[in-house]
Amino acid sequence: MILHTPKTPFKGFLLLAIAFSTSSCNAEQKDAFDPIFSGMPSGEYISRNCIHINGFSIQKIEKELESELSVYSSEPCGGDAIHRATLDRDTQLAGVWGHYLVLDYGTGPDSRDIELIDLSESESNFRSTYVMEPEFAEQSLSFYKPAEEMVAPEKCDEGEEEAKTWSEMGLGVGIAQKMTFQSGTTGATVDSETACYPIQ
Amino acid sequence: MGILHSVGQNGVNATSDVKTVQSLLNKSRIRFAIFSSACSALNVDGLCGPNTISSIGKFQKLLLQHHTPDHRVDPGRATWKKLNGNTNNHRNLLSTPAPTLQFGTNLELWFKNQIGHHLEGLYESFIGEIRDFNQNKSHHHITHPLRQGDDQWAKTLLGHSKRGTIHSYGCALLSLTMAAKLIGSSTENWPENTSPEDLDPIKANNILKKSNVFVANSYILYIVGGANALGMTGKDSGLNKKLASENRATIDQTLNDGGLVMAHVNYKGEWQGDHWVLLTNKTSEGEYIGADPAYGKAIKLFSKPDTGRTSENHVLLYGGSTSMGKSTPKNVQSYEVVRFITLKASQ
Repeated sequence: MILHTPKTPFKGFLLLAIAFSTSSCNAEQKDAFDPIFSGMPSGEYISRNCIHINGFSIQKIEKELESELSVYSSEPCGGDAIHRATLDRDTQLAGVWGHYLVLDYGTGPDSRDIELIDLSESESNFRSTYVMEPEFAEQSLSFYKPAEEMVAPEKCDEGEEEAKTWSEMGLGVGIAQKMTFQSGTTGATVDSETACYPIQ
Repeated sequence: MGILHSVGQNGVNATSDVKTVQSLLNKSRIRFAIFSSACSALNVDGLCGPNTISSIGKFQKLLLQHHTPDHRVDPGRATWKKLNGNTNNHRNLLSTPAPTLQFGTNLELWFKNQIGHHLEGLYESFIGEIRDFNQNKSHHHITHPLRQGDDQWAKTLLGHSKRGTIHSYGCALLSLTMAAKLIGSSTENWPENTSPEDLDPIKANNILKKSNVFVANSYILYIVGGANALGMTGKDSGLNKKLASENRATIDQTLNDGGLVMAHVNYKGEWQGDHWVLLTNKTSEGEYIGADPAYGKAIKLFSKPDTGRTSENHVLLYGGSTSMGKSTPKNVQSYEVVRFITLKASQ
């Protein structure tokens, strides 16, 4: 802070105002973008419709029955988009994982889809139905793919007691197969693990 | 000239019908001075825009004394009859002509004559309203469908989940909330002084959490339990079993009796459902009307698929190219009802 003599009070006030406004700009908080799934990086809103995540910027413009999504890799939400998509109302931006744009499809717990769109090639995309919450690690994604059948709680091995609780509530009990997707591939491999889940 | 389908908010809005209504609204400005001063003349262009919808609402408010106009003209109903100039409509209590008294008339004699005449007219109108009500008990109509992505509640965590939001997972919650606003009633877990019309998804979410109808640490909801907590009874048909088209009769009976139906629709290709919508009415044309919480829009489902699409025995109702008007999203066009929950007001 610069002290000014009473002879120049206006100049002093002006400098103080600039100092405070500059410090306010530096401290300005941008709203955070929280990814839908854990294990994915957070982002921040550059503006109302522009999100910056993991080196990419994503613009989402809402329309009456859908939204328009554009992804940029150079200037924030400007220049040539590297990917564009029209999203129906059941589709949400889940986030960015590595070089994949992640979209989540669904309006309830049943039969949701997850889609990974490769922003580096736009070729090696992946989409699958899933239940429960997918797990993102640095290079792999694990999720459970549902079988189209209900099972008795006794079939749920270690989860039998919990499954009985769901059944007593009046819910169905489904069974799902664990799958793993490795970044850079185009398909998921089947794991030996299965899990039961409640059907709404 | 008549109209074949509804015109106005959430109406079918066929071009010729809209033109008919627009013309009649303009004529009504000449017939009714009070309406003329409230509304400008409409462009008769067959497009049902905000001006047309607003004019219908003002017509209903000023000339039918509707406190909460639905901004819609349905064929054969009160608004249409008034628009069309059926001024001697004995079904409409409010259109009974007022008595007139001329100077010098014997007042007592005049009064006796008028009372007899108007009481008979009022009686006929009232009996007619009761007959109409008994024939079509369900007058349910959702004027403002709720939308999962509405900023008011989109980011609210659903149930006991730590990440799942109403936007992502709340189709069943919103369908139940809309149903409860129509036929629900308060139960032990409702906040004090909350009536069904006060409900919104956040309040309903809290009521259901207190009522222990969500799975622990989850957004998964036992829907029938949720219905009970919101003052309705519910019966589930089709959980993990393929229904048959005959089951549609249960949907018809429920709607006819004044109940509502939550319909589980499949649109992604497997035979099990993906999304819940709420059905409120079956029209005389055999169309099933309701509200879709994914879009916050009225929706229409049909007992047969559009031409060119295969019907399946386990599918009870279908979305179609006109389910949400001219711009029906592809997902909605693909809707197939494969399971349903009937909802009735708790006794």
